[in-house]
Amino acid sequence: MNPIPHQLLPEPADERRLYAAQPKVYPREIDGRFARLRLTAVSVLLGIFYGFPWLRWNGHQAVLFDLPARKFYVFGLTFWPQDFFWLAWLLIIAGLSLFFFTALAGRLWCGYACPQTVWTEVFLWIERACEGRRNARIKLDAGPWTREKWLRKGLKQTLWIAFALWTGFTFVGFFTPVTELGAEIASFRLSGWETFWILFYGFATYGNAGYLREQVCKYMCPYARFQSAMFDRDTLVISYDTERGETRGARKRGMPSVLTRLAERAAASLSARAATPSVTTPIDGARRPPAATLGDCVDCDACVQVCPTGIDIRDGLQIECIACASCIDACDAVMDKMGYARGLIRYTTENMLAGKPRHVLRTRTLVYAALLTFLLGTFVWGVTHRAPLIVEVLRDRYALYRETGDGAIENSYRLKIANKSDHALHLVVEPSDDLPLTIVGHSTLDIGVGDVGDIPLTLRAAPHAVGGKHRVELHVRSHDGDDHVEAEYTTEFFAPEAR
Amino acid sequence: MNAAQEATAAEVPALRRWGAVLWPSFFSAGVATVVFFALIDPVELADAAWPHVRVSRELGYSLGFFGFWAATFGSSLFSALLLGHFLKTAPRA
Repeated sequence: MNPIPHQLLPEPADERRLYAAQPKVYPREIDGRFARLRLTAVSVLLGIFYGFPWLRWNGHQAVLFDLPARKFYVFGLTFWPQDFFWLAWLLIIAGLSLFFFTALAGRLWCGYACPQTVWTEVFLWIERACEGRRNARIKLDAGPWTREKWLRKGLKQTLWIAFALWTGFTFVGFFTPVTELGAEIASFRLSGWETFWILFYGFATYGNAGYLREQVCKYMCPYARFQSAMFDRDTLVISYDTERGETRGARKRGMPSVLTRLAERAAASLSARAATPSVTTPIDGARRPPAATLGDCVDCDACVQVCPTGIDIRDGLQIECIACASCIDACDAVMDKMGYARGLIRYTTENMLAGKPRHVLRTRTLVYAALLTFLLGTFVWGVTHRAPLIVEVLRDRYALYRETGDGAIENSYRLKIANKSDHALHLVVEPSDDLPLTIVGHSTLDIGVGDVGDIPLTLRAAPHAVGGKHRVELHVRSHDGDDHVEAEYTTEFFAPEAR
Repeated sequence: MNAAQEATAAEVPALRRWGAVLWPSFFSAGVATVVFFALIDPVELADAAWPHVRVSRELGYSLGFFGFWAATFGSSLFSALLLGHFLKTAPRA
């Protein structure tokens, strides 16, 4: 192998941008296919977040993570601490989905679904409504503190803070029933922790979406740092078509696209576009490449102005790019205006840019998809097949057995029965019939939905019927209703050794 | 300390250096709290550890979270110190 000649260049000062101070980014507003797609995603996600706490399901809040009671309600499902396994399973599924979609289509998550993107979008709408479009905002920030500036900034801050507080309130509403929470606020009875979390979450939203914005993606987000590990040459990325775009530059109105020119030239059997003599028409000064070498990029900087992270996509794929596709929308609009074909900046893959076919089905995506199917399948099966009844039996700690006046032997237990089904249960407890044991007192009990019954239980053996230590199975079953529910627990029965 | 470290310590604003310690420790403490309390009920834990003190679940969760955060914060801070993260403060403009 021949060594590739190379040379180490000193790092320019502004390249230490992992931590260098950044100028404020003023993203320009843009409309287009992808902007509308994001609007849809943002509306749906925010609708879920702000709407779900208000939904009711079977007499309780549809989605409620009741931490004090250690129970999570998600529509018809109730999760208990014993189901934590499935929560961990769900997190693994979420992680793997991120891998899968990243391998397939790049940073879809960042551009359309990440809370950071979603809330930043809303804060930008508010900013735009109060302070105007991009140029007006830049001018307002640069200008002196006039009455108008105070008014506009004041209105923006008021709306931001109100929205942030509503966000904090909604967040806490997932953990404390939201109607109760509203009533507590109305009568100033909020508990310390509820107040703390409303303010904390509200402040985090305000700071992250109002001020930190792209800084969160660039410095705080771990996903941005390791996403490159999930990329390959067939991953969809947003890319500028350098070959078609360069040499960039302003041009005279009506100049055809480089694609048209190349086609014409090919028809005239001329060899290469670089070989044609350059004809320069100086109109507006210095930086004008010869017209014949011009690519399709008109160097209007629209793609840079709309970028929420303040990068130039024409410099190639960068870690800062959150794949929001705003630059595609911006460039498509310009191409339309020029009468050129769309797609100078587009979703593409490295392989497609190099003129190779795209492989959607490849080892990586197939393995991810298979794993994901397996995990999802087991999750659905596991969650729908959870035991509706949990029985635990604790032996009395203080005495192995007790002898009654007539010589019978009694053992005492505590029964803990959790009703995880979706209806109240009328239960019957009975010991297995391999030992001659009877239950002293009640052997039936009622347990409401989601309740845990804690019941004392005494088993009695007739005099001299049982000796020594025996395993005993306790059966708990419901006898009413269509669906028969039952559970069992094995414990021990002690009696004096037979003499 | 090599040139790169010197450059880092001099150029990174204090807020961001503290952020690099606070944020990862906050994140890990959150995860640890969720896992820990999913398996252990704070009320039962308090009953076993201090039977004479009444501890509510909310207080238990909060103590647990801040306890975890103190530990992860200490660890992040230690790493930062070993990397020379706090040797110089940013010059004031």
